[in-house]
Amino acid sequence: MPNTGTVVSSVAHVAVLAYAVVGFSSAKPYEPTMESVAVEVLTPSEFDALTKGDRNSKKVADTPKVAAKKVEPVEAEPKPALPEKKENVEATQPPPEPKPPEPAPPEPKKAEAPPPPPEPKPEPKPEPPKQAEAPPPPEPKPAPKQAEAPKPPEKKPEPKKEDPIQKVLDRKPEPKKPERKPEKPQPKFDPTKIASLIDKRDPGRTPQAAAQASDVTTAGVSRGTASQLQLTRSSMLGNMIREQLYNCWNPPVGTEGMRDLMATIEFNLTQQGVLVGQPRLQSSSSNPAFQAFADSAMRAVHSCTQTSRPLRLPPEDYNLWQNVTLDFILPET
Amino acid sequence: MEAAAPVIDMSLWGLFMQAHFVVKFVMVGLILSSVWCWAIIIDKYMLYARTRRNMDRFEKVFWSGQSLEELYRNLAPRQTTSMPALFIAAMREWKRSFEGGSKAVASLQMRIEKVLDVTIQREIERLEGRLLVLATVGSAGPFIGLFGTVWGIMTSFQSIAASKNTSLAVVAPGIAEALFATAIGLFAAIPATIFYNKFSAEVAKQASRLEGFADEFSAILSRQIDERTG
Repeated sequence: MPNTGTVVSSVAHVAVLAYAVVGFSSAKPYEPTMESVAVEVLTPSEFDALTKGDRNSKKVADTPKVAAKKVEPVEAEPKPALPEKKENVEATQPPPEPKPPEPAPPEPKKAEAPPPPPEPKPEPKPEPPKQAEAPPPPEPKPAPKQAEAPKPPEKKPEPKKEDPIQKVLDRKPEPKKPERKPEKPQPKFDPTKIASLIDKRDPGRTPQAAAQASDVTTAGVSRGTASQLQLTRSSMLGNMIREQLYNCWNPPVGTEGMRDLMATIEFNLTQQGVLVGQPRLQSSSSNPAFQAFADSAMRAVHSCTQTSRPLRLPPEDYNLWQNVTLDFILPET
Repeated sequence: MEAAAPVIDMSLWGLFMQAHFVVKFVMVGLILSSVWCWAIIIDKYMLYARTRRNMDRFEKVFWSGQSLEELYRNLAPRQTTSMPALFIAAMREWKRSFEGGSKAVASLQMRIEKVLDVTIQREIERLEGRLLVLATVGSAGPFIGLFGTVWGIMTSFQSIAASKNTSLAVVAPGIAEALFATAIGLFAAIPATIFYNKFSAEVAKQASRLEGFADEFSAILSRQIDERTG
């Protein structure tokens, strides 16, 4: 009787195992999902011509801009746009004079609508800088304007108060309005604070120069039309050598982020890109990790300059890369 | 240092052959215990079905009004189990007490009850036999499988550390092979646990049925004794 169970059980297990071995003979591999990566192919000269953008900037412009207050005189022609820059102290003298007539129209409006008050505000700003250099006449002008400006607002709240106080619950917003308006003009025509409005920046300063004046540094360029930089043959060769050697380079574990480590290595190459003699370490450091770091760089030079894997460099420039001195620095991550 | 991962046989047989010998041992042990468990399950299932049918038929005959002497004469030569075994044991004791004119009836009632008790114990033992194997496999199987898995993962991590390559393609086969041990452990333990619970309930039911019959039969015999001696 126990035989029945044993036999049945054994047979069943053998059958299940046989099925499993056949059925699970090969694991079904996952469908390989290819992630598409946008790649832009750049020639070495294009790559070297890339301008550095500002990482924090959100703005992408058609042409790259670097924050600059001053136009580089060599390349750029004087542009009519420049005089509009208010920071340019010398150029802005004439424009403020025609402006004073403009504040006049707001006066009749004040009786009707509150918006005018903002208008006089921006105008006083350009004027104080003038005060430093320009004749005193402008000074009295802003004063009467501002004196007039606060008064009409005071009148307006009064008729309003009668209705809202009865209808609306909040008394607070209304008292504030008259307070605010007088406050704002005050700093402007307070003669003691005039000094604070003067451009205190060193007149002899050298503003950052660029081909084009711009307030911001752009994040990048929507079209790759960077201003062309001079690409020298040797800098291109340097990039080619660095790119190939860095691919063979395994920096030692633990040196990540130690960007102050630098191993300068000099070595000679044959015309085929094969190492001649021994690479020579030209730098030293007190950093305890330096030895391992330098050894890894030496290994990289060795492993990438073998006959089986030579450095691929343009043979016509052999005289430029016959003797190579390269600084190994951990790449920025 | 060959960077390329070797082609890995992912079939079950391949997984088994790649495993560490401890894991292999665990796997083989678990498969054998699974075979054993199922052998017991099949045997017990058949035994309980047979016992139930046997009891049903005997009760039908017993309560059909047939004389006990005649029933005893029918059943005595056969090898009996469960209820008929109880009946035979009690009847044999009864017969012996009245054989050859000897009137050893003073404590006959006590002797019959003792004989019934012993027979019930023997029957329950027969029903329960080897059920403990199921309980053991059911509770220890997953742990044994887990042990194989832990061992396998341990060795695969050691080889990862040795090869200094942590790509998933290198890590995965070792872990798959190790998890296979837990799979076999569960494969053996789950049916063992289920059938252990089912069978222990069945044994309790049949034991109470035997005890019920024993009580009734000893009551009948007790009345007979009193009638004969009285």
